[in-house]
Amino acid sequence: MPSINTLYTARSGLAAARRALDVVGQNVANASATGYSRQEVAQSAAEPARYLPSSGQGVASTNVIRYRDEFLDKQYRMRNNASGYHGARADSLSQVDQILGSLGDDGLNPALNRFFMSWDNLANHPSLATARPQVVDSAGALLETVSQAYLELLQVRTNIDEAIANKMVAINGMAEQVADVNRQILISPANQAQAHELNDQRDLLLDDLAKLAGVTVGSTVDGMVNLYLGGQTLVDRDSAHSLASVSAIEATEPGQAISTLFWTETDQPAQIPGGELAGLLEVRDQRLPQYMEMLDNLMRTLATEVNRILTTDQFGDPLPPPNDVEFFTLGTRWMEIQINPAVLADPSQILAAQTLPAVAGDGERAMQVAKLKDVRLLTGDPVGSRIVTPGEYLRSVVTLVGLQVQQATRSSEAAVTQLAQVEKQRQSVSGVSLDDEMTKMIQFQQAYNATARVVTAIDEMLEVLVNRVGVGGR
Amino acid sequence: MRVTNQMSAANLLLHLNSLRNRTSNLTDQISSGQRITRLSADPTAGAEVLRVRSHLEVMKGWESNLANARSWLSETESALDHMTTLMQRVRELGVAGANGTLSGEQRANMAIEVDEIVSDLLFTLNGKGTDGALFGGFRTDLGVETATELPLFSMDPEDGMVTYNGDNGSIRREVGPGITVEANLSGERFVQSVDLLQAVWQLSQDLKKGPADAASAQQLGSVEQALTLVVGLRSEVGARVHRVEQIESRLIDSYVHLNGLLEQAQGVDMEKAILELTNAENTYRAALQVGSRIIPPTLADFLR
Repeated sequence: MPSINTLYTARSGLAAARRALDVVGQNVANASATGYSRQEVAQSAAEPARYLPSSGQGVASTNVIRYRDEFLDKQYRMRNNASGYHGARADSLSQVDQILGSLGDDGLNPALNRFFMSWDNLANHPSLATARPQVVDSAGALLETVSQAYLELLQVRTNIDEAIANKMVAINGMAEQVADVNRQILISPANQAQAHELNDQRDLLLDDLAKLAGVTVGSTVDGMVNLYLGGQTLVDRDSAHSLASVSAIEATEPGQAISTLFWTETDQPAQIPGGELAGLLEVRDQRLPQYMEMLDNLMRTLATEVNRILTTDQFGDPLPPPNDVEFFTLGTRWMEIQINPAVLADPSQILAAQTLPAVAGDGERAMQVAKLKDVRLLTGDPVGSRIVTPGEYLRSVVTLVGLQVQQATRSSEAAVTQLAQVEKQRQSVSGVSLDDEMTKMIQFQQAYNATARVVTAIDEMLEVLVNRVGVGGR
Repeated sequence: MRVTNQMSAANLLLHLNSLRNRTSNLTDQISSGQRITRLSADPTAGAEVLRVRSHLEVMKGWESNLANARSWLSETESALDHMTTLMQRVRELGVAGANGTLSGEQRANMAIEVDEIVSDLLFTLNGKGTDGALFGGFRTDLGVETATELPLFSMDPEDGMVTYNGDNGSIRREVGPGITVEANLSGERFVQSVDLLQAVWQLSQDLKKGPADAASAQQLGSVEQALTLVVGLRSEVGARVHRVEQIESRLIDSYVHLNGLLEQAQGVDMEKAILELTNAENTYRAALQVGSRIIPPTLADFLR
C-alpha cells in the first residue's frame, strides 16, 4: 500500500540529489581556484525508524567530505620552505654575480694586472717622465674598480635589508589572518560548507608562511592550528604574536645600518629556521660580509706592502724624509684606502731607486713592487690553508662567488622541481577533474529524474486511493 | 594516479618554460660565440679562463721587456764590436812599434794613431743607447762631459789616470716567471782587472819615448790582456742575446698554447650548439601541438 512514508523517502532522495548537484556546481565553479579542495557529498541510508515496521527512511546526506591529504600538506610545506630558502639565496647571490663575476676586460683581475705592469714600466724606465703619472693612474683605476664593487655589494645588502623588513610585515599580517580564521572555524562547526572554505583559506596561508619563514604547524583537537616559528609560538589558537625589527648601525664591519628581528611581546631575538627570510638573512649576514672582507683584505695587504717597500730600507728601518711618503693612506674601516694626496699632487715623489741618493737608471725598488704580483702575501680561500699571490687571491674570491651562485641556483631549481612533484600529488587528491564532475552531474541528474518519477507514481497511486476507492459502481 | 585538468595544464606550462629557457641559453651562446660569459655558469672553467687571461697579460709584459733587453744588448754588442776592431789595431801597432829599427818619425806617427784610438775608445765607452748610457750601470744619465754633468769615463792625458763615474748597477728585466735577464754591462769591467784605457795610453807614451825597451814588452802584454777582455765581454753579451732569443721563441709557443686553452674553456662548439638548438625548437613545437590536443576536450563537449 502506498503510504505517505514513501513520499517522505522520495523527498529525501530529491533533496539529496539536489544537494549533491550543488556540490558538483561548487566544484566546477572552483576548478581553477588556488588552494581549493574538491568536495563530495557522502550519502548513506537514513537511520531506520525504531519500533516501527518500515522499509527505510530514505537517504541522509550525512557529510560533505573535503578531499585533503594532511601528510601531503606537510610535505608541501617542507619543500616550499626549501624552495623559498634556496630561491631567495639564488636571487640575491645572482646580483653579486653581476658585480663580481665578469670574465671580460672590465673585471677586477685585469685592473690588478695593469697596476703591477705600471710599476714594471717604472722599474724599466725610472727617468721617463710619463712613468710615474702612469703608476698613479693605474693605482687609481684599481682602487676605483675595487671600491665600485664594494659599494655595489653594500647596496645589495641594503636592498636585502629592505626586503627582510617587508617580509616581516607580511608574516605579521598572515599570522593575524590565521588567528582570525581559527576563531571563525571554532564558531562555525554547524555550517560545514563554510568550514571547508575557511580550511582552504587557512591552508593557503600556511603554505605561504612556510615559504616565507619556515613556519611549522601543530593542530589542536578542536580544529584550530598553532603556528611555531623558530621554537617560539607565532599563533596560539586565536591569538597571534608578532615580530618587530629594529634598525641599528653595526658596531662591527661593515658598519652599515641593518635591522634585526625580535618578538614584540618578549623582546627576545627571533630565530628564523627557513624560508625566504632565512635565505636573505644568510646572504646579508654571512655571504656579503665575507666577500666584502676579502676585497678589503686584498687591497689592504697590497697597500701595506707597497708602502713598506717604498718607505723602508733593506734592514726594515724607515727611510728619512723626503723618502718617507707613503703611497697609500689607510683608514680603519673596510676599504678606507686612498692614494696619498701628496703623491697625487706630485708623482715625482715616488721613489723607484733602491739605493739612496737615487740614481737615474736605478729602478730596483719599483721592481720589488712589480714583483709583488708573484709574492705569496695572502691566506687564500675561506679554509685559510694556502698562502697565495694577490692575483690568485682575487681569482679565488671571484671563483668562490661563482661557485656559491651556481650551488644556490642548482639547489633552487631542484627545490622547485620537488615542490612541483608534491603539488602534483596534492592536485591528484584535491584537484577537480571536470570529467569526474560531469559524470557525477549526470548521475545525480538521473537520480533526481528517477526519484521524481517515483513521486509521480506514488501521487497517481494515492489519487486512485483517495478519489477512486469507495466509489465503486458509479 | 588521479589526474585533473589543472595538473595537465600546470605540467605543460612547466615543460614549455624549461624548453624556452634552454632555447634562450643556446641562442645566447651561439650569438656571442662564448660558452660562458659569467663565472657562475661554469665556475671551474671560468676560473681557468681568469687564470689564463691573467697569465696572457703578464706575458705581454715579458714580451716588451724582452724587446727592451734585446735592444740594450745589441747596442752594447755593436759598441764592443767596434772596440774589438780598435784594440786589434792597437795590438798591431804595438807589435810593429816593438821593432827597434823604426825611426823616431815613424814612431811619432804611430803614437798619434794610438792617441786617436784612445779618443775613439773613450767616446765609445761614453756612448748612449736608447735608454741612456750603455756602460754606466745605474748612472744612465752620464755620458760625455757637458757643462753640468761629469763624464762617465774620463782620462787625464798627463798621467793616463782613468776615472769611472758610474756604478756597477745591474739593469735587469723580468722576462719569465722569476727569470730576469741582465741587459747592461757595467763600465767597471773596463777598469777593474785590466785598465783598458790606461794600457793603450801607456803604449802611446812608450812609442813617443824612444826605442823599444823592456818596458814596452811588458806594455804589449797589457794590451794583449785588454784585447782579450774586450773579446771576452763581447762573447758574454753575445751569449745573452742568444738566450733572449731562445726565451722569445718559447714565449711565442706559450702564447699559442694558452690561447688554445682559452678557446677550449670559453669557446662554444658551434656545431653542437646549433644541433641542440634545433632539437630544442622541435621539442617545443611538438609540446605545443600535443598540449593543444590534450588540454581542451572535456566530457562536456560530448554530452547532449
